[in-house]
Amino acid sequence: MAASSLTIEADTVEAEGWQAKAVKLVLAPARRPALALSSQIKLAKAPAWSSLHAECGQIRLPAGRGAWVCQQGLVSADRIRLPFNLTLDTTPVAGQPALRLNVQLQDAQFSDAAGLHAVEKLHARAEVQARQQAGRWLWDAAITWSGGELFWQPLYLQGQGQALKAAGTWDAQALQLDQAVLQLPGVATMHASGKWSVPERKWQTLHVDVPDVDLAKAYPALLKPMVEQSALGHVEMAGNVALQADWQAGQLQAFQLRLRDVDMEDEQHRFAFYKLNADIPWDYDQAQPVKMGFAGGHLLKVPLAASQLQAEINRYALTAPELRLNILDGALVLSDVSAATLGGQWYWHLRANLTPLDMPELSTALGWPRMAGKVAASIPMVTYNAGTLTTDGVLGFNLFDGNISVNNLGMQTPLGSSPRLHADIELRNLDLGHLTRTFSFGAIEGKLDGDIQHLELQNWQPVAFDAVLKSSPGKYPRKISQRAVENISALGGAGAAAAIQRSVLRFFDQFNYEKLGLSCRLRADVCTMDGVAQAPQGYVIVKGSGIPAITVMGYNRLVGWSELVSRIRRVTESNVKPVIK
Amino acid sequence: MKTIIIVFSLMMSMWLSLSPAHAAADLEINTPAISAIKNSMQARHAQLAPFYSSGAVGFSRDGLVAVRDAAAVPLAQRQALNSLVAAENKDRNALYAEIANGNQHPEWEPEIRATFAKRWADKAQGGWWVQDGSGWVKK
Amino acid sequence: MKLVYWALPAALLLPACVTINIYFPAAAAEKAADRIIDDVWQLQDKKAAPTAPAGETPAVQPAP
Repeated sequence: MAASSLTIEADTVEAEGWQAKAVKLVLAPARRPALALSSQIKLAKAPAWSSLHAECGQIRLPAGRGAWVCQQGLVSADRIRLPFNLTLDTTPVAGQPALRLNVQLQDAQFSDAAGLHAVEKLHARAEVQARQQAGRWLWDAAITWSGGELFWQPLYLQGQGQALKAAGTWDAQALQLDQAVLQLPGVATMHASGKWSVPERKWQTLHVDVPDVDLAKAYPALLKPMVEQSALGHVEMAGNVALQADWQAGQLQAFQLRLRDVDMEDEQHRFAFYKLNADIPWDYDQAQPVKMGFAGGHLLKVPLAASQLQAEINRYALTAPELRLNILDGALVLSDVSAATLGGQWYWHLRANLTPLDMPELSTALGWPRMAGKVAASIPMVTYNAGTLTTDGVLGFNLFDGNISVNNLGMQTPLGSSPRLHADIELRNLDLGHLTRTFSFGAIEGKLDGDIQHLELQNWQPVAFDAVLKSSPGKYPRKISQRAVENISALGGAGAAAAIQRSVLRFFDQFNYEKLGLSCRLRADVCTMDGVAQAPQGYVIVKGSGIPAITVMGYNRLVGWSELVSRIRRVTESNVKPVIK
Repeated sequence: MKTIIIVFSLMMSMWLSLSPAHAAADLEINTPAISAIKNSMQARHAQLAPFYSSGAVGFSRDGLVAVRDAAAVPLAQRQALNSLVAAENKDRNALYAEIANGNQHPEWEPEIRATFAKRWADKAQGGWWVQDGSGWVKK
Repeated sequence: MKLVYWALPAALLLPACVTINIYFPAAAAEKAADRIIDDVWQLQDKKAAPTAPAGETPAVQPAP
């Protein structure tokens, strides 16, 4: 070629969204680089100018129409380095304008300033073909990503042959996507079609179909990063999912989600579901029936048996006349369920009934001391408002042959890092024999009443309450074993128990009592104590009767709560060991 | 009638940490909620410490932690880093609110946060990054 | 001198309209913060232990 070099310079170039200054283009086909462009560039949103450099090591220019080739190309700017090879062929097809573009990226790097969108060592190839026909372009494109890493917050992916194939038409009004297939090897294949409005810059219609997702692979790669802060953020999953979704005018219009034999287990063991199957349709305009069922699982350690649930979803609200969760031999029946989500928060209310459950099985499953009897409850109204759970009416439990009722139960952030609970609890006619055997506190025969008012738990630990526990009124055998007396005394420290052993009392296995009781008003980690009667300098905890009678007294009215709890724990734990007689 | 009445004293002579003078001098930080948050933060610290050292994460003015330089962390770990920072900040926000609530002065939360912001920064090890009035500073 | 004369009755009146403010206990808060930070960073246990060497691989598992 005759001309050895050609230089074009421009002071400023402005376009929608960006501007450039000090633009210099040098074309020198015989030299290296054969084509070089340097400029200062600033995107509309960027705070400052940055330099941009692009070059082609070698170029081949077509004589007339033909292929433009740029080899050993490189685009570099702040945090961007894209080595590429490019071929652009503009040879007309059947007399109509056409182009074929072939780009190869090798070892490309890119990162935004925050490092939240970045690629490293990227290898990819793109082929785009287009030809004009009847005033519009017919196009098809194929992109393969063969290697490197991508982080697009919150997703991290490694290139391993992911491929996108798409075809459609394009004109000034719309980009029509006839068919697109995205293959994520081993995870899923996604199909999409739709229409992108060029003037409105949004999808007029879009249909996405993901027929078969292997959750064991897709959950860690795609789903977990999206839901990391939710209850589903740390779960092991397996099974299959299928999803179809439709958007219209940029709005989600409908979807259909199907779960097939999904197993999920929370890493913190808060819940698990096995063989979960669900059909969840959703439509912006129409109410849809939801069906869900599972073969087993557990929720906060409560074992769940096979259950089938049905509900109706109406836009952002869910209603169900009855949801029956089978638990062991009974069930938790939720009725008149109504839930809605508003601004990312959930609001719901329901009635709940717990049909009688076998206590021995349930207590074992919960890791509690084995308790005899059955438990049943009914909750007239439960309301949940954006993190706060309240109940109206009384929760009734039948335990230890007596009744436990819970009033004014409320909870804040039950699944958060510091859940709070408040309630008033009433105990009536609990069998003391049952109770003391269960908690290994030496035998006491009799019945117990209790009132625990203004109970407040933080992180499931009591921080305040006004509690009174005392023997129930009425006629029934009242006996307390020597061991129980020792244990009550041991709460006051060592020594007292030894005193019994040294006295005449060691010859008696058990004593009669007239009444017993203890109260504690807990505030700021201090328990203010009292008994069933006043005595000089103290109060009576057990008032004896008959021969021999024994009276247990307390003298200290202010007791450190944590110390008291650790003493009770020591007493009950040391008693768990079998006593050889 | 021979009734043996034996009286046992419950010698619950436990030290009580709550004398009035004491209460005025200290803020209550031993509630179960505060302990739970503290334990959770303590468990997370071993994972965060290398990011403090590498400069990927720094201590911000508002008593939280922030991703300062994600580029110091390989792409594969950046999401783990983001979640770690989000979880830590959730705990820190809850901690400041719980201390204020636990002392019956919810309105103290901003001052408690500011106190913590200063103390996190003061106690940060050499090489860790903290945010002062003008920006990020390496200690 | 003039100033003193009118300031005297003002000083006497002052206690009548005192509002009780509970000020933020800055020193106590600082002490509380230090105790919590020491616990979280376990500064009491391993004061002698050196800091993690720079460039050490973070203990976070890479996302697959």
